[in-house]
Amino acid sequence: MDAAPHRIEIAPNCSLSVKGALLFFGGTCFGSLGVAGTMASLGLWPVLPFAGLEMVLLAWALKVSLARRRNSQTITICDRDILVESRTGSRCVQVVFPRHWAQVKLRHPASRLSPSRLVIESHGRQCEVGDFLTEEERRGLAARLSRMIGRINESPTLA
Amino acid sequence: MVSTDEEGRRKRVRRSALILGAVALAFYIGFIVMSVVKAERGSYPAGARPPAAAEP
Amino acid sequence: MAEHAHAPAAVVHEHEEHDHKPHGWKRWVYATNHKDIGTMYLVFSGLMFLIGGSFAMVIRAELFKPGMQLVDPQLFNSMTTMHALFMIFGAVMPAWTGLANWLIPMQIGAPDMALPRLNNMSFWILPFAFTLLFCTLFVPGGAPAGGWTMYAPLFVQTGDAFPMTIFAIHMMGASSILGAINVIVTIMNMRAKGMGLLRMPLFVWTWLITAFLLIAAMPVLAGAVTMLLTDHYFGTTFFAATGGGDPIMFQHIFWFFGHPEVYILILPAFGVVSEIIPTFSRKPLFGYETMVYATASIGFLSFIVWAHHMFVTGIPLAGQLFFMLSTMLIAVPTGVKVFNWTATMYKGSLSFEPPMLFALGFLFMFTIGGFSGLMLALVPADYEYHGTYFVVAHFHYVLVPGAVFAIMGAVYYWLPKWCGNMYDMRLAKWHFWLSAIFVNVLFFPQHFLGLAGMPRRIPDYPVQFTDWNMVSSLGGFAFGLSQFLFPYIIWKCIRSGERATGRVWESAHGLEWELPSPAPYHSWGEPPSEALIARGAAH
Repeated sequence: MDAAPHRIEIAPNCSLSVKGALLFFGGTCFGSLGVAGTMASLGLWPVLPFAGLEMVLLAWALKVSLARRRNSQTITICDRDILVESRTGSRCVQVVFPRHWAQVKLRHPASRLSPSRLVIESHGRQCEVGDFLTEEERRGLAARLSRMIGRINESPTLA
Repeated sequence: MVSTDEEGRRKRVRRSALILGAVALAFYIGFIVMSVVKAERGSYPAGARPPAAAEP
Repeated sequence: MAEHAHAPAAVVHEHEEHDHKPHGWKRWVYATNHKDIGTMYLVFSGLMFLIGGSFAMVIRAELFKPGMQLVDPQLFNSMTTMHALFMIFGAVMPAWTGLANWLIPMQIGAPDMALPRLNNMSFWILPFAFTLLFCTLFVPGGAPAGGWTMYAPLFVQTGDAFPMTIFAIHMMGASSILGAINVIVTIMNMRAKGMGLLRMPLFVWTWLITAFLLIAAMPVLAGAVTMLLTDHYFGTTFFAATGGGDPIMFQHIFWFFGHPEVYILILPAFGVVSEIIPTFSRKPLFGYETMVYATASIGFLSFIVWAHHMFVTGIPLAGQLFFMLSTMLIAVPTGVKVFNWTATMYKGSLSFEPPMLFALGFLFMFTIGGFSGLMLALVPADYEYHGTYFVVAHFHYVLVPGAVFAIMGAVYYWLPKWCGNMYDMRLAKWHFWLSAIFVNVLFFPQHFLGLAGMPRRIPDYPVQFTDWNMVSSLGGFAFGLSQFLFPYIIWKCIRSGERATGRVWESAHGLEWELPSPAPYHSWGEPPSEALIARGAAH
């Protein structure tokens, strides 16, 4: 009998909600544009475009960072297959590996200060998982995945 | 583990500190406002004010 | 759990010798990793410290005795201006950004900074900015000589260096803003679960407030220098009385930027000291929340005190009173901080490793600088002190044994975490004691000189000032020489040295100390506990 599939969902950390981000951005705009507006009212208008530009940049930075909320990965491990679904915004990419032949690799980069890369691979295909995790979390995930997936030519019991 | 008594004491200390801090701040800000207003009205003795610029 | 029933399979570790990441110089040019960028910032800062320091040596050599010896007055003034610009924008600010890059992600449990490519850009603007500024030394008319405050109309008279300086300052400002935005977004959005705002380490808190100050103050500087540029080249008269402008207005807007800037330089130092003192006192920090509120209050107050730099410009009495009293108000949150650091040490089990020595040096000498600042805040006293060496002594006390000592303390505190090796403690202690002694020999006599009436920014002086100037210069040379120990200790530590443990210091607290040294890894003996995966949930 097939065991129930195991699912691991990982998602980047987002400590800021959209509402929180709006409030934060509004507050910062109030401060920065308030200062620049006062300067402009005193005839020192060249301050205003710089402050405006800066707020546009802050808005962009918040937007890019908040877009992380819509990224996630789901790794489903069944008896036979491993399914990795990577969602980036509205895009979703699915990769399926035969569990028996798949293996988990933690790649240490040549430079020791760069982050490691965790990949599931088989038959020359590979899929990176957890690139948005911290080093410790990625190592934990690697350990957990390798217990579930096993080495190449190995399929540990799931049930 | 912090006992409830300890927690209550912490809260009281925190509240008293905040109240005393607010009073001190109000006093100080009041003092600033008072001195600024007095200076604006020109109610300081003449010696404390810089001499007015001579009219051209 | 079922997977435990099976013999656990080891993770296949592979060293990517041919990974897709660039190597050699490309690794640094294309760096997006917060640790690489942090390292570059710190190395850059060290280089600027050396160049800015050599300008200071020229100043102290010229002032060694009365009369004109080495440089002409124009070059002397260029040296004071360039020394300030290099030290403030090149040495201290990038050092803080470098530390922020290294530490903030580790301290809040984030994998990297929020915007890695922006991070790369914010660093790489800096070398161009400072190359441009350095090149002004070789253009007709010489380097800028009007002081780092760039007061109009004097500064507008700068020769060919004028537009170069303005452009360099624009680039430095852009770099700081990009860095600040990155820090803010990282802290706001990338905190690990459970890392609430009031649980963040104080270095993170102080940097968050610093980043807000940068965001509010930098556009004002950019606007101010742009107006100088348009006054010079496009016929505007923002600061020229002939066209209805106001030269004093430049001072107002410069110091509206300049005073928060001073706090931008010192607030992260408060954060560093608040991390070091509890570790070496083996006690938690006294009054964490009050530290946060005090920092925020200092940040706020920094925007309403600017005109204390301008008491002698003839501002109205009401203005003098307001700015005097609001400036004195800063002593309250600063006093709270000094009290809290002292209370943290009270009945603690103190030990005096190099980071603690630098933190204590900071505590004592920054307080001296704070007190002389309080003296300068008093309008009637400032009428006497303004524009004298007393002011020079004051801000050097807050910036050298203040900000610079905190940076050095931070490097000695976290260096083993960064490179995995312990450094030579004996040499580092030598570095501290030589620095601490000579920084006082260098700057303390400047109080006397200022009180005796020696003006700042002069290449020559009356003979009665000779003795203390000689002492100060000798202190300066010795302080400068003793700084060469610092890169040597770091170099030696990176190349060799006893292996550091993960925690490095026995009572260090914070997420970064949970990671192995060097961060993030090299050998990974046993799998970490699953509890470390905050978000990986098996269903």
